[in-house]
Amino acid sequence: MTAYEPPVGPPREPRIEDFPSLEAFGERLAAADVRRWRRGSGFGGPGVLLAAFVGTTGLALTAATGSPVPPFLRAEAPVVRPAPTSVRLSTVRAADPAGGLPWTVRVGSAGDGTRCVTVGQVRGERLGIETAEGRFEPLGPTADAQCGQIADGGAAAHAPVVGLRDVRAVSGRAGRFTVLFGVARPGTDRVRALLPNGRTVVASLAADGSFVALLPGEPRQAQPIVDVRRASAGATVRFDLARTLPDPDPRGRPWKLTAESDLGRGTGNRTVGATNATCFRVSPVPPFVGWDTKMPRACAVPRGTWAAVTRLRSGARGEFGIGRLLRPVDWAGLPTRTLVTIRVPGTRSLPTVRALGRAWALRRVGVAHIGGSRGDAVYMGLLPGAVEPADVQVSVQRGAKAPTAVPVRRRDLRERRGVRP
Amino acid sequence: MAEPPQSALALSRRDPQAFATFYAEEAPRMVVFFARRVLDPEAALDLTAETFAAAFVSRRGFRGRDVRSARAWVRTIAERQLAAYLRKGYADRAVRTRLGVERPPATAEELQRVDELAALTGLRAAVARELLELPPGEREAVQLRVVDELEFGEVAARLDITEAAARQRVSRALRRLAARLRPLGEGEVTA
Repeated sequence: MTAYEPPVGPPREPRIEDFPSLEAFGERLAAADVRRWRRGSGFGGPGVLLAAFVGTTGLALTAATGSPVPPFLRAEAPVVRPAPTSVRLSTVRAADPAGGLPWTVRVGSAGDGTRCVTVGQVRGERLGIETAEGRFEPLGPTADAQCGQIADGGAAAHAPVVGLRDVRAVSGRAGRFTVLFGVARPGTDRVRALLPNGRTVVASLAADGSFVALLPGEPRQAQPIVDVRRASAGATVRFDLARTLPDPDPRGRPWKLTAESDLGRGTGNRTVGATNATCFRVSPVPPFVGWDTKMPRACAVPRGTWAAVTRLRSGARGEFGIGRLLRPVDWAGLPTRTLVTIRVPGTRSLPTVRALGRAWALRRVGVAHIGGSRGDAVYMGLLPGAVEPADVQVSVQRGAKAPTAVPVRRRDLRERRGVRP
Repeated sequence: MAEPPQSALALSRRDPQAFATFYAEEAPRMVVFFARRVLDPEAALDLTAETFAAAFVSRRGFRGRDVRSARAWVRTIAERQLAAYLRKGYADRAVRTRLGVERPPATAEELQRVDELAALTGLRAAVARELLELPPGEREAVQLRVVDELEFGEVAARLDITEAAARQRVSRALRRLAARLRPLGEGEVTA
């Protein structure tokens, strides 16, 4: 890493013209009708407003220290969170195999038909996580919620918000198991997990569609295929989590990273971890409406060893691409994340990604045989929004006997922002 | 001795249009103030907008007169906005919503300018370097809290310590980082 070089000479004094959006905001602000605002205010005007600020100083210490390191570096506005007043504890329960508190989910909504679900253990009427020492850590009303749209019509008609949680990672306890949880549409009459050993686990299901089940082993061992049945609609939706294990997001939202041929959807050519793949895609699990056409895809990726790093900011719309093709992307209300795509020669090279002093594991999403190439591995991964592309360092191990980490050349992801897909 | 000139903020108590002058003078510095604390141009612009929206509706509560006290007053609001951002992870929009005033989306060029004026590129590199110099326990705590964005409860569970200890460890590490970065000219921005 290069040493920090303070800027040469005094920095130029910023002017309002430097920030057109703020300049426009100032003009609108000066014209705002404050009296109308005060009359319409439900919380009693500025005096009360400032009083409310006082209650937010719990972490003011960090600000007071002048630390340039913020506890949250992400810019996720608009963040998808359940409205605190909408959250309800589900009636479903699953007994903890280690004899701890039972597991359940809390369901809420975030508007626009978006449902949110948080998994945890229940004590009394409170949701939380039991730590290895047996302490109960409550989860706030919007903490760790996973949100998605359970829309009417189309293939998403019965798609639940579904997730897996590795319990050992949460509580540090020895017995390792996976919590399958989620919320489907009301009227769902069965949620079933099919495990690799042929075993079937039927989830505890509530009338509101929320469900929870405990599966043996960590998520990658559990490898469940999840069937969500809604008999009245005569349909079952299958989530093949065994083949497309969601990658845990830094905030708990699972993502799916897949490789596919570019011969069009619905032709049976979509494959996972495929050879002859031409496109590599990242998408959230559960799928948002329209996710399949607007999530980032890297197609016809160029040959050689390279890494592309881009920041997908919440609300970003435009066209992004690696190689020849630009693909439309609508990141919409998804949280800000930094997307890393790496192509390395052969299938044995293992890339390493480091940022902010941490190593990140990327999944190999497929093998590219493009333009008669020998078959190179393509890796993709999502890093927290806190990680700026400039922070990311990518290396690959070279040399069979004494492997050394060699920096990987960076390619810029081409993009045209602001284009509505 | 002559009295210092009256600030535009003081004038705006009676004349809302005077607030525009105060805003044009102070908002650009505020962007830099926020950008160097959140390292995110878009969030800095949002926090600046919300701070001045709050200042606008509260301006009659400003009891000072001169420029110095006006800056200190709006800085207090800014620090509270920052504290809320640190707690919640996103900039409040409550006052803007109530006022019905939105900030238009920033262009890539504007975001780049924030980055340049606040010298964020070098700052990020310095932060990343200094992170590696922290004691392992503190570095892990900061990474779990700052990079992985975990709640303190989960940080505590991962580190097998109490939540209070986790808060203390993160706080201590951030103070240490701030102290190390300050000699490089980072960590303090005069507004």
